Amino acid sequence: MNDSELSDLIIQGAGTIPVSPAPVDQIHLAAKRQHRRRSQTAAALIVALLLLGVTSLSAWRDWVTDDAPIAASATPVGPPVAFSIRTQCGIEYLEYDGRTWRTQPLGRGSVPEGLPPVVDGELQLMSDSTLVFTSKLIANPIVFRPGDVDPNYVCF
Amino acid sequence: MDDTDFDEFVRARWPKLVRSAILLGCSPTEAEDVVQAALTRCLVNWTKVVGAHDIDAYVHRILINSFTSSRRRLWVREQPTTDLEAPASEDMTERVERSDALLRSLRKLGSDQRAVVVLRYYVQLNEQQTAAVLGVPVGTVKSRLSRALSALACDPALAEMKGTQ
Repeated sequence: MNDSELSDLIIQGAGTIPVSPAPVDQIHLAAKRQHRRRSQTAAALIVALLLLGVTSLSAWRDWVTDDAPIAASATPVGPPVAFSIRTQCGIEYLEYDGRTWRTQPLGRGSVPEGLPPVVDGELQLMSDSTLVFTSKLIANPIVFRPGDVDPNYVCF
Repeated sequence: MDDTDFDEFVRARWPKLVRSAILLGCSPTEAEDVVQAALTRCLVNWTKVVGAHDIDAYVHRILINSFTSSRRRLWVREQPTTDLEAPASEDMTERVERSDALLRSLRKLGSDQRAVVVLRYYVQLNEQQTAAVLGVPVGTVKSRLSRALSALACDPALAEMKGTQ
């Protein structure tokens, strides 16, 4: 059997297969449904992305500001101010904005290794409960939280 | 081209597309669903279809993809209809016998060979077009055709069809 014989047989055989009329209207309806689904999907995607963006922004702000109320502070949250810390008894407490702030002790009651008795830097109130000190002399920012001085704490 | 052109296109191509799908291995009902799904895709992307270098080859590629997807999922998206087709009333015996013999012969081929035979000998695409539709090299089309022809040449059902011509 050669190519043309096979082709004829297939065309003739297939021609005997009954076929219903073309459902043109149904195809149009199905296409409209697909269009609608695509539009809805695109709209849902845009909304999801917007929500994600808002949530991320909010989370970022919460992370930066520690999500604490700021109304109680007399000093506005905002730009850093120049500040010097005395290190003769180590770094643990500081007084700022009329309040006592405390951090994880550095220096075991004496000047931390490698630091001078007075460290110049910047202090930034990030929120009512977060105060951050940065200095070129210290590798990582020091985070202070509101706290009271330990009654046993002694510094001369 | 607008909707009117699409409608004319569908009416002109529908029988051939449905028969192609049946030859590929679909049941008649499934074939109509597969072709409807393919033509729906065509309508959604009508600008692309019209811009295609070879519209028929492009549409058959969509048909093959719809067919493959339907096989992969083992189900076909059916579109609901409000009109039921009236059953055929004429004596279809001889027609059914011929189409049945052809379908039995094609079913003996593997799906790859069957697709090549349908596109080449029923849809009448050339070897390059067939290769493009199936996404295979022309050499693969040739070898699949050669093997399919050898298998069909010794198929008794097809020989019987040939004898009754």
